[in-house]
Amino acid sequence: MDKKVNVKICIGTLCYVMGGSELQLLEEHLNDDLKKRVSIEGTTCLDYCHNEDNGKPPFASVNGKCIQRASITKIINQIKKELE
Amino acid sequence: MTYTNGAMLIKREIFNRFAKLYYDDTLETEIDKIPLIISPKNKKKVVRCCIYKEREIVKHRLISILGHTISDEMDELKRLSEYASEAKNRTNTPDCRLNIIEEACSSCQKTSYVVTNHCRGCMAQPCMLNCPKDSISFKNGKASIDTNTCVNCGLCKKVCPFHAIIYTPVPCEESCPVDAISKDEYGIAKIDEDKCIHCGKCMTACPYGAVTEKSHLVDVLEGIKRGEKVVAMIAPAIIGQFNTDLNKIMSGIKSLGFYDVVEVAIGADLTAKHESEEFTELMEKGDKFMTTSCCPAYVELTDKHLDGLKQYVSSTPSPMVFTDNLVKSKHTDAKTVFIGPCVAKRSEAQNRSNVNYVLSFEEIGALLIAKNIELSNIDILENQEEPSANGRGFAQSGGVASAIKNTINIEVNEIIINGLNKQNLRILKQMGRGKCSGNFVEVMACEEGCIAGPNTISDIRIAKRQLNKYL
Repeated sequence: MDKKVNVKICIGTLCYVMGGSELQLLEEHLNDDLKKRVSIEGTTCLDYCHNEDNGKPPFASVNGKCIQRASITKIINQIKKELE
Repeated sequence: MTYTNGAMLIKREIFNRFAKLYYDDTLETEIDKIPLIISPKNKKKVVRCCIYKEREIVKHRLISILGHTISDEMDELKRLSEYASEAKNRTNTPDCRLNIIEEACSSCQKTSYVVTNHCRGCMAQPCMLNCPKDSISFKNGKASIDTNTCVNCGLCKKVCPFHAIIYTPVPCEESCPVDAISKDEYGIAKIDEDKCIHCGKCMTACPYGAVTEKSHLVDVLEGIKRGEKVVAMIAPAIIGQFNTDLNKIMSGIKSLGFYDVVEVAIGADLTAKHESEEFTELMEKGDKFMTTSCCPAYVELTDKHLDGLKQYVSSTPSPMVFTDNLVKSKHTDAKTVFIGPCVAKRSEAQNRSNVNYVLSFEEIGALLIAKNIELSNIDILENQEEPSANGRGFAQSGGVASAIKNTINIEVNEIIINGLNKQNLRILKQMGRGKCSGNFVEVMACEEGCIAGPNTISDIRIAKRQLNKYL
């Protein structure tokens, strides 16, 4: 019955240069409960950057929802929302 | 140390757009549109007072990216397209002096201590009683500082039980280890070139991004276009900057059209060898101590400010210089580009070496993005010459000292100067008077070393982790 959350983090060159490097530390910022319920995947491009309407890099996606200017806090907040 | 911030991101966005136009061969026709794209008519969140000011700042940032000196601007109507053609046709590489974007400088108020509204006008009133200049009085039940007599000693802040007094610095002045940046009569920052050691601390400290380098991007790209043998020399700090293996980073850079890509860590191996021999010789001769010479901001510090310390600086060439010599002995007609995290390398390249150009990690990142090069998907380079772990270790604080220790057998009592902060400057001044508790002093201007330099991309924790995989 536990809901699972799928997080994708863009590790492509653009997102990385635009401040995405810290997103690699996401897993270390999850508490034990969240760690069990979240799967984190790195991907080279989420294809959000090709349309400026999606916002600015770095990008991540949480259960398919686009997070622009992603930060660890923003991603965790979205994960918590998904688990509500 | 640099943390992700808006000033940095806008700078990178402009670099990215610039590189895209260059590769699309539309630089001269489209560059004047970049300020309008960054600050369009209907922009919702304006950071400065209005979009027009923002556009003007972006324009001047682009003048700097084109390698021009902003203060040379005579005609404000001169278009970026004209600046771009001039840049493409010049033969002189832009000099290493930092540019100040005057419109971007926010004329931060003089450094001071300020009483906030958290002051409760307590009965103890320690701020007033302890002020050595009698500058504090109580008005309407709250402390008030007389700025005419206050000497910024900070005692009031220290004794306030409610932390109600705060310190408001001028970030650029606060960050400068040598008091080279100050304000002109209009409150705009200016840099005294006689004092500046090009450490780049003001550039990363300014929350408005008003201090900027003159880029060599156009010069490098035009060289490649003309078919010159432009060789990229990558600083070891690049490991950990692009989230992929070093070999793939090198391969990606090569695919930008560089004739060859060489690790500066190979030169660092030579520096370590040479410096070890020099150190052994000096110790046998009875010298008190020797300091490293690979950090260009430190070398410039001794040149401009610490005359007494100069005699102790190793005469061994830096890894960049050794690498440049290697490249040019192999290809006499090569043009070399140092790619690194460092602002001061621009000064070293210009004044103390034959290196032709310097690019930052941000700039090389912009080129990779513009060319749609995804580093993790790229084919690796075969048969690259590999440096030792010692050479690559030069990128972090403590790395040079351990390379020397790994090379020789005599006793090394190392002192590590990790960052040119006020405390470490005092120690260096002492050393200039011959007082040193060790015999080998490693100095790096940036705290943590080059991996936390002013032009790095990665979070320092990630960069360290990556680098240590190669050590």
